[in-house]
Amino acid sequence: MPTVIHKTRGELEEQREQLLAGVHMSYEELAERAATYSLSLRELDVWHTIEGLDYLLDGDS
Amino acid sequence: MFGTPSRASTIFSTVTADEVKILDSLAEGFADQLTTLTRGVLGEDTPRFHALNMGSRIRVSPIAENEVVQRIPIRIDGQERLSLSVRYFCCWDGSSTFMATDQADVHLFYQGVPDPLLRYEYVRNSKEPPGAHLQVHAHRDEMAYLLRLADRGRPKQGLRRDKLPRLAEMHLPVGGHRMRPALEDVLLFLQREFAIDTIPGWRAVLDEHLRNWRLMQLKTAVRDAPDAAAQVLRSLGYSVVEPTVPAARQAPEDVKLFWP
Repeated sequence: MPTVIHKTRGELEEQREQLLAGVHMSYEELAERAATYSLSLRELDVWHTIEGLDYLLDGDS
Repeated sequence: MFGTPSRASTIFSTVTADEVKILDSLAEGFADQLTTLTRGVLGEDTPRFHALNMGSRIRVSPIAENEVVQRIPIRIDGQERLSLSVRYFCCWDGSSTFMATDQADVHLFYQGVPDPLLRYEYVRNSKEPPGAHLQVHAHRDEMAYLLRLADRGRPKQGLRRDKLPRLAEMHLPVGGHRMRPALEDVLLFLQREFAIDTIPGWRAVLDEHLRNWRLMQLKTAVRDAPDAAAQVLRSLGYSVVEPTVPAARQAPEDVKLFWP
């Protein structure tokens, strides 16, 4: 895997959808459970990944 | 490392081909620096940092093969006990020689427990709460366990003396000799978190003192690293001439700016 990975908006949005599907939660549910620290560590890693994707997506809006 | 130098930046929605090259180089340099740091401290099997980029923004963190962010495992006496979640959200304005850090999170977890023990965080646009802050989630029991777990160092010394572990034993780093929080920061903390009684005009008094304190510390830091200060001033257009007779310099190991 290269050190710098370039993604398009479409690719990030697709990854985001797949991540949510993988934990069987909506964004809202994941966010709510993250706020109360009631996610498993695996789910928390997914949440942290989605936060990062949203940061990138927000920069281009 | 808890954030690159912050500077004002504009978020561009499009990045030219030349800018992509510079951005790539900055992002790769930053990610590699973090990998070198963590591998140089924790071991070569520490996961590599990668920079994920779209447009002018970058997220830097270790990631697994499936591109999900990965916590960095930390061992005590050879056994994985802790992990660090490290994420930097950075942007670049297309002209700077630095990327600006919008947010930096360094969260410490006990093995298998999703509620972190400690959260060191930086939020670039935040004044309230303070941009750089530390949040403690840990309970006394968890920390007491960790304070005696290792069979060497301070934990071993504590065990040998049959000393009850106490949270008060922990010395949490807060920015070093020159960047340390001042009384002003503590008073602000008390006002924000506990709504302590203050008198009218308190904030102006506090802001003035905080400004004076930070400027004094900056001047002291400049004395610690004058060449770096001169370099920045030149980049800002100032003419800085080196003294004919250089002032006596401290031995590198005595320069407090670089002390933990």
